[in-house]
Amino acid sequence: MRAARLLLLLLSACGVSPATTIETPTHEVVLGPPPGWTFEPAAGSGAAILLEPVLLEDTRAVFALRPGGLGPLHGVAFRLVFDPAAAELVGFQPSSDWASAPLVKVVEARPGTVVGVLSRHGPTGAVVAAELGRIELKLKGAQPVTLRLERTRAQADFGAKIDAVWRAGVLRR
Amino acid sequence: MNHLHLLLLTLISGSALAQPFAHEHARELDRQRVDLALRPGLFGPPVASALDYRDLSMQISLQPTTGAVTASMTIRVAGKTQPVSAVSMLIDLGLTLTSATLAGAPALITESPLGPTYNYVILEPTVSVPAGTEVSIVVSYSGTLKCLPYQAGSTPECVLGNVGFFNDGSIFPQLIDSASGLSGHDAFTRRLDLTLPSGTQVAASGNRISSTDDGLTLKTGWQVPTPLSRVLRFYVLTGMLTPTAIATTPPATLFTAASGAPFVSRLASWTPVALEAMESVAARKLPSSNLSLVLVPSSASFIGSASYAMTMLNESYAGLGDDGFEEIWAHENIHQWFGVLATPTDYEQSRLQTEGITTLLQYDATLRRTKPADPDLAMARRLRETELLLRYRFPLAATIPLWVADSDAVPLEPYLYNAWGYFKGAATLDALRLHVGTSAFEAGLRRYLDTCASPGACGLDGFQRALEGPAAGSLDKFFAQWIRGVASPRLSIGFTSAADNAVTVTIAQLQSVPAYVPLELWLTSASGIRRREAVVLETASVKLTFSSGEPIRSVQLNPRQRGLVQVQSVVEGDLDFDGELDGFDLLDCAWRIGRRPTAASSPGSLFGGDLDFEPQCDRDGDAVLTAADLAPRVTRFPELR
Repeated sequence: MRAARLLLLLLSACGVSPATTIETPTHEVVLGPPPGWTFEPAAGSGAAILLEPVLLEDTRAVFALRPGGLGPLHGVAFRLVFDPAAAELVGFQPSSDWASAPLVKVVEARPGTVVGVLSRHGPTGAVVAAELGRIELKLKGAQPVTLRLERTRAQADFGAKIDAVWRAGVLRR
Repeated sequence: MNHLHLLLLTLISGSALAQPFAHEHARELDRQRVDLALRPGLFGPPVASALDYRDLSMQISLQPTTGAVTASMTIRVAGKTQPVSAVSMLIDLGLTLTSATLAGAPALITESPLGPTYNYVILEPTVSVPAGTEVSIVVSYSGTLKCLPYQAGSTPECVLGNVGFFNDGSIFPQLIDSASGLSGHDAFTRRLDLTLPSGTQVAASGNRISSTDDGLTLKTGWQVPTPLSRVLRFYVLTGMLTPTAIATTPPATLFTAASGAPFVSRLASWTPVALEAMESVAARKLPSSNLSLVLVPSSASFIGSASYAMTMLNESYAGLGDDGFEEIWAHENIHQWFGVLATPTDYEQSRLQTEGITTLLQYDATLRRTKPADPDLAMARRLRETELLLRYRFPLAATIPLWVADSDAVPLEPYLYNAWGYFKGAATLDALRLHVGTSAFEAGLRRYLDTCASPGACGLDGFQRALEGPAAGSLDKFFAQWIRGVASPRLSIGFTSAADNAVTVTIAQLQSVPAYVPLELWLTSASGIRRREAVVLETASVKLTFSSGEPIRSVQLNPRQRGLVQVQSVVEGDLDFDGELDGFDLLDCAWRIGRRPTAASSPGSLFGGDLDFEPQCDRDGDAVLTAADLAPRVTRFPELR
């Protein structure tokens, strides 16, 4: 039993879903903490802004917003939508590259809808950064949490729109 | 101001004038009126012509290098409602009349200098010429041109750079009407037989009907075979012009001075595109047998003009870049239809049928060429210039009707004049096009050319009737509000959605007096499908309900209308009219911080304006976008539906 728990933790740390890799003998009673959260990213390819998990704990999830394959960014706007019964926003921390931007505001406008905007002002140049910032959610239960990025925009200098796919995913445990 | 001037003159001189001198008094008033009219922008009140000029035929021998002129001309004229009592004209001050007959009898000639430029000539009959009776006036004159500008800053006469430049009032007369002065829309045919030194390059604003060069002299014949309004000048250019043939119908010749050489290939390629596009819109080719296109040297202050079979443009417009230069080239050539072919009879009171329509059609020409993905948004960007001009630089232009009863109300200051006549005129006609529909509008323009081309010239009433046609219905309200009157509506738009996706839109007019405002609403669905709904506002507010098969995300005006109509969402700061203050709205303003309406000239601007300046971001209206404008919205952000 202890070995099974250790294997579970090890697999979880490797990002492999224990739900699909652990076969618990039906006759054995499994005790211990519930299995950890895993994140299934939405499928897609190409230039994107991704929601990537950096910390998944029992009641806490921290995601990084990471541009991939994009040029310099002058600003972004997005909404992160989820079931408010399953999660709520704890906070947003901009990355060091965006911490000095004059416009950074990410709030849960209504339960289950986080609305965010990050932007520089005027012709101050766009930013090449590996990360925009981190979003921390409080997880309220054990049910899957579908996270969707909606009403998104990535913008270069002088208001030019950047084609990018915004991809989130599903948290499961 | 000129009303006052004339009134004072009458009061001062009137009491001292005994009846026998009344004729001299009338002459002096006439002379004063012409003098005033020669000052830029002063036309005086519109007055119907007393004379009906019918034909001007000239034989002129000119030595361009010395200015020596020997000439004769025949004027055919009739009195409209009263006998011909006098015929007056301006010619160069260096030229004097050597003989004049009127109806076969010697005419009484009076000549006097008018300013440093003109010989002001009055011919009076010695025989009775009843009203309606056509009479021929035969005049001979000669001398050496003085070519002096009328006043400091006026266009120098006789020369553009190193090109000889002659028009009405120089080697041939500018005819004056005893009632309407320099203005007036009696139209007449013209003929010029011009003798020049052998080998001289020459272009004139007429059909070239003959040309012979015997090695000593070049004799060319030019004709305007259909009556042309008296307000359109006749031009002759001579000298250092290099001709380049352009294959168009009618065949065009591009004349450039040495400085224009770098532009020849571009202008030659742009010209057929511009002409063919207008032929398509107008559904007719130009009536002349040839077309002279003249690129005026940048050393000349003359910016360009158009007359029968001739288009002129200063090469300094190349400074706008190729896109702008091509567009202005199109503008000047479009005047061949709107201005020359159809010359409005109320030109002194409006520029709608000349500069307004031509500016709109020049935008169209660029859009046809650039084929933007969204023509509405592309046109809206061009009309942003009107919005910026009327809101920030020349708000006075918004208060001046596009057709004024008293021509003294036409703006004098050149840039204000442009904002009024060109940009506001174009935006208003585009709003009219949205109102009646593009095909009805274009059919209306064709009807206008059908019915109002010379000699059937008409004024604004005729233009309105042509646009109304059988399909568009009465445009009385539109013309009364937007052309004969003024409007500066400020609107707010809000909407609510029902469970069945029906939207209820509320539009309020925020100004104190509601205006007649035809609008095109855009209802855009969440999937981006744009639906257009025509709406006419006449009251302070309206509430409209539209069914929809899918959720509607935003309700806004077609942004082409923003040149004339200020509009805002009921949610302050909601730039995209989705009823929310969200990240898109803040992004749209954040990147613009630091911008001013005129600080930088952006592509598509003809006026040195920053078309990226967004007035909706200028919360305090101080003509500069700052973080302070954005801050209250950031504080409120987000406000969701």
